[in-house]
Amino acid sequence: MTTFRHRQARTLLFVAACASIVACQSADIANFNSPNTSQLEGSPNAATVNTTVAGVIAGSRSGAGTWASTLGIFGREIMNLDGAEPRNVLALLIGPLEPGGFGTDAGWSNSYRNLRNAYTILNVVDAVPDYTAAQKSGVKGFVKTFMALEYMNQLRVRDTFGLVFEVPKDPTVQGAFITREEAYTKTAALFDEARTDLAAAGAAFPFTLTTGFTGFNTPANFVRVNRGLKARLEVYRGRWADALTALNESFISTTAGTTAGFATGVYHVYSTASGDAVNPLFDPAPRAIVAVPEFLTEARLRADGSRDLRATTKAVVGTVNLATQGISSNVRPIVYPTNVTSIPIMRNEELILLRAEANIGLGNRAAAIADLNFVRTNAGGLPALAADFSGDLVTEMLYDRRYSLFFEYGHRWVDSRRYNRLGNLRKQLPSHRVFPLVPIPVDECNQRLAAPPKGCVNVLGG
Amino acid sequence: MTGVFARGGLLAAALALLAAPLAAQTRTISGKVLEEGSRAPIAAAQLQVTGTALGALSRDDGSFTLVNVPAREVILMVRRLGYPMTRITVGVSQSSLEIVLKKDVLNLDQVVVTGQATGISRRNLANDVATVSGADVNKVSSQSIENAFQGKIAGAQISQSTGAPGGGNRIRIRGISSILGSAQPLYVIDGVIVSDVSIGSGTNKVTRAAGTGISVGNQENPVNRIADLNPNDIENVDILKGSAAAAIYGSKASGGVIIITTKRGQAGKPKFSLRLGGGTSELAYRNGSRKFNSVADAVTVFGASITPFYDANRVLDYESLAYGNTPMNSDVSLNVSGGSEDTKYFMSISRRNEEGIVENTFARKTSARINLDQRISKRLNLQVGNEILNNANDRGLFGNDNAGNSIAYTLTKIPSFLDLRRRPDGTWPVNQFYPSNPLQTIDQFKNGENVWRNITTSRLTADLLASDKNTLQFIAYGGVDLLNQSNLIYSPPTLQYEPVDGLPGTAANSKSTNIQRNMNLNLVHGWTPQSSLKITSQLGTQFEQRSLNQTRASAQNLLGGLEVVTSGTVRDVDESRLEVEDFGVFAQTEMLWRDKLLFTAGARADRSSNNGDVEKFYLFPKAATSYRFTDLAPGLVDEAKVRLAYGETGNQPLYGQKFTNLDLSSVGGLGAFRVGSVRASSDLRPERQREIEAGLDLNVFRNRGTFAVTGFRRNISDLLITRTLAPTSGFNSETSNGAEMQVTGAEVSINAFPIQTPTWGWNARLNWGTSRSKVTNLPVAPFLLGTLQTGAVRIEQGKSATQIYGNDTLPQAGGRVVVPVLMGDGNPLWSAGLSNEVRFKSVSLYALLDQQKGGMLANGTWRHYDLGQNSRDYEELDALGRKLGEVRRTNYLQVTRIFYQNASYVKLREVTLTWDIPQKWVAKTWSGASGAKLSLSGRNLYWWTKFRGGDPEAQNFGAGGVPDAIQRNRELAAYPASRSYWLNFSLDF
Repeated sequence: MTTFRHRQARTLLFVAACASIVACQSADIANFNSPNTSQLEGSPNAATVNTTVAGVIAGSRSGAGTWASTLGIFGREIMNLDGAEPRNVLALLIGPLEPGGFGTDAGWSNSYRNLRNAYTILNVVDAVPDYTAAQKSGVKGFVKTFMALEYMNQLRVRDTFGLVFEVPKDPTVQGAFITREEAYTKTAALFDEARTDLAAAGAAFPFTLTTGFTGFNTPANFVRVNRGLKARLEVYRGRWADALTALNESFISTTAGTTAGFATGVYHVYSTASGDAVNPLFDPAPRAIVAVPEFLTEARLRADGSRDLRATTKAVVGTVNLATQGISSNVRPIVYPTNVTSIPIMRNEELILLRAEANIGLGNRAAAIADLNFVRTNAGGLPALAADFSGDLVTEMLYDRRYSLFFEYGHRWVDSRRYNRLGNLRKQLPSHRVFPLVPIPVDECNQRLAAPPKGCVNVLGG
Repeated sequence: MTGVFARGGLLAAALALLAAPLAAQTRTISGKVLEEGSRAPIAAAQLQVTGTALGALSRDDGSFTLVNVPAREVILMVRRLGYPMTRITVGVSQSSLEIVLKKDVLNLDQVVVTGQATGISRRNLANDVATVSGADVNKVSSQSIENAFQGKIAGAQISQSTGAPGGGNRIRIRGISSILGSAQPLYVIDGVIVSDVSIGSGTNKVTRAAGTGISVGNQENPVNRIADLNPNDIENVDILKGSAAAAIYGSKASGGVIIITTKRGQAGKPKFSLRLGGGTSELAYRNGSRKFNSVADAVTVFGASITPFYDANRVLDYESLAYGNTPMNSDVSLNVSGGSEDTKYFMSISRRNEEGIVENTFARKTSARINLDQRISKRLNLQVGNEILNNANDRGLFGNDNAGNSIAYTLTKIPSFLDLRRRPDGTWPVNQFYPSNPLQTIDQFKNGENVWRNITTSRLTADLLASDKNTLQFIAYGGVDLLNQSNLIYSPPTLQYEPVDGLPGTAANSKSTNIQRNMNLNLVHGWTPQSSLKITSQLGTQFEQRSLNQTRASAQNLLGGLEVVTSGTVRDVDESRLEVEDFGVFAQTEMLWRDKLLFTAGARADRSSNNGDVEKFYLFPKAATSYRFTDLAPGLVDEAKVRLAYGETGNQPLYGQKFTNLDLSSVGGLGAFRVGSVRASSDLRPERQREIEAGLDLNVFRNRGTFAVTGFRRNISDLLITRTLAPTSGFNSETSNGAEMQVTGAEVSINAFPIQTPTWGWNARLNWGTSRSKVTNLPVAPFLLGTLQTGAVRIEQGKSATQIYGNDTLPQAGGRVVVPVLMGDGNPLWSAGLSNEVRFKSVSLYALLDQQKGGMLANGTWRHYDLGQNSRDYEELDALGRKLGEVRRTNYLQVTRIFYQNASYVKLREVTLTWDIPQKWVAKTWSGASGAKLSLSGRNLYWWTKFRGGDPEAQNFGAGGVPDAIQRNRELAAYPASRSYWLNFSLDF
């Protein structure tokens, strides 16, 4: 009996001691679901940074759908008639656009998130032990090009509201809002910095690029993309001569007036692999996305009486007529025939039209007409403009940009604003409005109540 | 530290065991235990000679025998559930006695948990602890135990996120307690923490309600898994509402603690109890829809292509077509209890089968439990419990959606003249005007969920020391809650919406495992230095580990239409893991003087792997006192108690909140890292609540009623906030501790038994609770959770944490301007429950009314009827001659309150008519039977509300990033609520 009680006591003691010992070791449980930023910010190796460079491309791709769809709606290229989300009509076509409203973010958060990613790379790249000096330069040049692209993307959306250029390392420190003009200057300088870096980047990048960069995946080739993007920026701010200079160093080519020739460029690619993204603009039924009805009817006629090839190859009259909130369309865009079709970042057709635009700006009508004709005859099958065409070349150029670049980047809206032609965009109903620019999102405004940026206002549209 | 103490204490205890007292002269006492009035024998009453280990249980006929009783005057302690604890002095020469116990209708002597392993009788309790008995829980068959709590607990708001079979609720006790952390209470069954996890189903892959991921839990109206429990096994439930009562549970207790005690066996021959229930349910609310009076009207909305489908004479009621299923529900349980004095058992099996008002939806719950109590030796007692559960359901396709396929969502877009019914040849018409045909979706979509769960609890009690003045007990609890959930979503290629993305057919297969283990060791010391003073102290440790692993695979473009994900050409996988380990040490002492003055003080120190500093212990102290006045005004106020309590609890950061992720993705086959959008703060620590609670309890009119009033104030500091960062920082938000909030409230409960005669009986209960929150310190600028256009919670210093802002349009010189305005508050002003039970002889009628006053809710379903230009009053004209629906539809983005409404309601929650079949009839039919009851009951039979669009309780999810802890401020296309009716028969034998 005594022994039994002893044993009981000992067992209890043992249990208690075990429990205490187990529990006395604190458990430092790791993050099982994701790597942590400490892996990148500590002492990263080349592999980590290379993977993060791919993250910059992924980040840029995350914005691509927004440009074509939201800006496409503003610029009356397409409409989103999703019955489940009527705000695509009520907010984006009727408005007013409000800082806290639907669609106002317009890529803002994503652009700056991508900039944060890029700045983090720039902060650590010099400390990566297994990069050569040239490879470091390559990383910087590539990343800076995409950073400048993000700034340019937001300038297209916010225009005179300006933006924030600095992204301080400490996220609680806020960068200052600067004007559109200052932002243009800094963005142009960043493109140039990137070019300098790329020039010192040796023969190859240390990282792998997607198939969307085929032909442009070495520093020497990629610098031509950098120049093309810079040319877009210079055209936006009307510095025509600088635009021509940049275009001359870009991948502009008029050797082949073929589909392939026009399509040469860099792209965002998609795949159905797990973890990857599919093309967000793909809507075959369609369930939501339709072209504005006038897209086909306003296309110019070819000699045989049929419409501009650029219209008929990019949209068709479908069997489904989508209708919501009093508007409807049965014109289905076919720009993206599959869910893995690439979306262009920049391609040759745009470069040629940029050159035409710069030449119009400089008064070089002949050069401009030559470029416009190259595009409209080859891509559109339209009759050429006469060499002595005396009409408004801007109208002609905007027509070509509308049909050449349909549903790719929201160009029509930006172009209409640049030439004060927003009034020419057709409203489906009298209650609809055309907005010149997009307010700064409310999350940004709320953090700057002491000195609200001027973009923290409703935009009523006209 | 604890190890050392435990060792010392145990050694002392072991020594004490050795020094067993020598037997002196002894005698035998025998007698009977009877109930006052009826003089019915009371079985299983526990008798104990105080100061000794001598004890016995009364037999079925109430008789008992105590042997080896010391031959001196002794005090006999008699305990029996449902009766007050009684002490009887037995004289030296007395050898037989009759013990008469009075039924404790007011539950004053019920022991309420105040420590991990200790309790105190309600008479002395210093906190307001609500108790719901098993009988109250089972008044009307419910989907989940929380439904059975509705209207029964002062200060608890319980809302149902969906009307779908299988449950899905949210409990908020004493208002809001957190902005970002968990707000759900902690559930403890028989001393062991169990899981109330909600795991998403994977319907997001089909509805795309939030992105394209496989599962986004909060959009999928998941079942919170406490719904798995079998209510029939519950003996009673204690609800520790505030920090003052719950402090002993430390950093997991900020949402309150719900302590469930299951039924245990009673010695004697086996006693069986059988319950048979059958019932049905029906749609409780109809939205109605527009009648299109002309083809021109239809063309305006749907375009010219609607013309051939228009038929002025066809008016279909789609709500009846979709929600018109008449289910056959059943709820059957059988339990048995019995055993010897050393071994007692309770076993139960049950099955509840509930079908939905939507065809092909159901919830089937099967469970089996065994509770075993074994006395190992005189000083060693073991109690174990094991429950195995299987819960299967299909809840259809409901809730928010961005792909045009959610059933309730789609119904809002279908004009009543459009015929989408199945054709005689079995084919389904294509809905040309919306991506899906909801009737086809109901018929073909599968949302299968199957849960297997095993909950094991154990309790080991060792009486290490039992002398006249000192007792020392070692009490260990241990348990495992293992939960396996599998979900199979199958959306066949034949469904109309499926080919829309070019990938016909979607399947998503998910497996989730949640394991929760804990162990809890206590030493409880009782010291009675003199008969008027009793001091109970305890010291203990608690160790808990929980993990949740979810793996999901989905596939689109299902070749051959197979359900298996490998048949799809586009596949996606997802895995997430969670693991947490907590350790706590606690100590408390409770001093009771003359059974009048109670004083308690204690503290708990907690450490968790979720904190930034995993080594650090956070201390949560508590203190409470109460005093009973026993002879104030006999007959009027029989007894009064004043009480004051203070306590602190915490709320842990969630797993992963302390890390800034480097998000993984893939771009064109390349692996990619992106700096995550949520920045973590590395020094995350638990939120801390400091609550002070004061109250007054009265027993009045010769114990015919109790009245309790409680006021509390809670200051919450170190609130976790996901403060929104300026997006230009590159982050959306940052999680950190910082804000402070104050919650003030009051609760009243009244319990009355005005009439208690053999012929008539009446009892009434009323509970009422209110709470208000105020953000007292916000280190960051005020911020919005959600968007103004659809209503946002604005967190602002000095204001309620649940204030809701929206847009409004104000006239201004030269036009109108859209400005943000305060629309109201999401938190109700107060909530109340009133129940009455009237008995005439053997027939009794019971009814429970549940009321909520105030609170705002966005009515999304109604909004979608308007947006589809399909609401029932769309064409009615307002004073200015404009169409009502047109005005709402075109203005709601600028005038948010159009679809934001007051959610006040009164619900007739439960009604039961019971007939206690007289014993003589029962015995005549079958001599083995000891009692039988027949009852007719109903749940949610009727409600009164001005809220339009559905059930004002149905809050599916927080719109636009409003965290669950604050509010689920939107009702949108949830599975509709239903009324249910039951017929029950129960038999005891």
